[in-house]
Amino acid sequence: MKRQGIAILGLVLGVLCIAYSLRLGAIPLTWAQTFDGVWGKADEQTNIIIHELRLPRALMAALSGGVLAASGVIAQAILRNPMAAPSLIGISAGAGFAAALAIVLPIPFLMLLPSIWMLPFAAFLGSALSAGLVFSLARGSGRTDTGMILLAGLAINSLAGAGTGLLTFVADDPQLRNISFWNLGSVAGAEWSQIGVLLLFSLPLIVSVLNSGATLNAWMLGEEEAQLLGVSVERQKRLQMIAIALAVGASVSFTGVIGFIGLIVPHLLRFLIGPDHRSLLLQSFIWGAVLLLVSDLIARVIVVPLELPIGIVTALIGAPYFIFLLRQQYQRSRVYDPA
Amino acid sequence: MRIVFASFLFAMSATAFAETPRIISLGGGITELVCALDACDKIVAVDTSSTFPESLKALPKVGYARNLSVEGIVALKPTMLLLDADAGPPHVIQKLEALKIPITKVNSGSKLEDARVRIKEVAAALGTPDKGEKLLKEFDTKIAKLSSYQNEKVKKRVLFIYARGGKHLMVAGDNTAVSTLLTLMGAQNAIQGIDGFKPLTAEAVAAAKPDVILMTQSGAESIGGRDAVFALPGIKITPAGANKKLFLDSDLELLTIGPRTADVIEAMHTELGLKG
Repeated sequence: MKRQGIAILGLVLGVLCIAYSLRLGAIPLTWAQTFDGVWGKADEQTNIIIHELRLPRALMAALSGGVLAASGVIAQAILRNPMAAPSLIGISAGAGFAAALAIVLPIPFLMLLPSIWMLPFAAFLGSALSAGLVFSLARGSGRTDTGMILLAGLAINSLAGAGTGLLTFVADDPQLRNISFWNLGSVAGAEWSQIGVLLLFSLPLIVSVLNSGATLNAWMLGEEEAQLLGVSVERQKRLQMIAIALAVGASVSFTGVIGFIGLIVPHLLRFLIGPDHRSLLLQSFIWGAVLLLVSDLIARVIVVPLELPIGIVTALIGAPYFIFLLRQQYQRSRVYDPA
Repeated sequence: MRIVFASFLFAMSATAFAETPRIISLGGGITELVCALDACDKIVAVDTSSTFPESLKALPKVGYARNLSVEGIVALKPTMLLLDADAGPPHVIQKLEALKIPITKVNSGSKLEDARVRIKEVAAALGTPDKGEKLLKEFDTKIAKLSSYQNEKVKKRVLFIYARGGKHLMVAGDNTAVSTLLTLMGAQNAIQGIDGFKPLTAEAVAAAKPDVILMTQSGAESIGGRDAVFALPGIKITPAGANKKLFLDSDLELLTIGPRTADVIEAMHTELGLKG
């Protein structure tokens, strides 16, 4: 009952956030103008603002928030590590390095792309390459070792980090700024075509969110136990990791690095609704979307006419609440501690 | 339908312009020109690099010119958006165009000729080409007066260090505003044969043997002031380090060529003890 309540609350909040994302911003709109704008019945400028700016932006925030949070749940379950997040297996760092590369060096074949696709394309290649490298490093004699995934991820992260460091060193001032802005994340540049691409790349993950609750529950008992319960462990590992890599790779390549959501949302929900993956997966998707929508709303309205990088906002509102919950949990567990 | 709306909007913005122009100027060099052409009072917002004249401080800032937000700009209802190749990101410029914000793109080069082009472009955008001609004539006259500086026999070697915090130091090579300034001043850029800004290394600095170090005030502050500059690796063993020769000026004066350039050169020429 509590679970359903929280899911419904999440959905309602999500819809409210989207509505407010459409209404609020540097350009003031009334609710009437907002709704007219959604149906394309307002004046030209309002229509463009709703259709080309605010709506794709809100959808990008919702979809990437959901993808990041749900990927966090899956990564934590598969790798059996509460600290696991998509960023830990090299996806974000690889994307960051490739983005920095595209910012600093004029790469000929990328120059053929329209400017709004240049960085995302490079970043996605980077994330796919680094994720692929991590998995192939962790594979041996027909199985993938989850411990190795974490270690290989760590190594690839450092490598990509060093590469980005090297590029920031040779970058000139404006390029340096562009790299750091990219690393702070933003959904400001969202386009409809990008939403389409992100949705496409997220399909495997969405299927997994809807279907693999029971599998991941079995997984929590241990890989061998899961095997005994009829889970084809190796196949699942591969499929789930590919689903994460595709979805997070696409999301990171459009928004830049938005940290913390993949870590914080799953943990928050475990506090609130327990560890059952059958509801945890979908709820994480919903609440990840809500958190990123709220963050973007704050990022857009708090320093008008400027905008804050969204990654800063997610960490600023997410981290204190997380610490609060963590502390509460700790004190509660101490009360029941017989020693 | 779209076309009807578009033309309606265009007509609206055209009449709005006829009444009260609202200019958003991005880039310190461009903003300075707008003011030099007597249109300072028509500016409604600027970017963070527009620091001259002082009166602009009270205006709303739309942020860093490379990281603009569409709505922030549209909400200020500009009838003219002046920017150069640095403004971005590209998707923001595209959307501003879709929203029919009248954008004028201005030359961003670092040569004397680029400054001349800029003056003409901004004057044309403001609808006051005559004022542009006048400013251009003043500019040319002032620059022509500096010609004697360039007959210097032994040219002083000047090294420009661009700093943004302790770890990020760059030197200016060819095709920078600084190299244009130095040439006009009859000095020599201590760093030759590199294009634009490159990271500074101790050995390159030592090998460049600068007589004088040139920096922006904010740059020198960002690494901790005069003493910190002379403590930079490599500087100590150069003539500039030994004689503690450091010259500071504002970002805008050193990084763009504009109406004040001639005055800057004159002041620096005296300060650096060059003959002319």
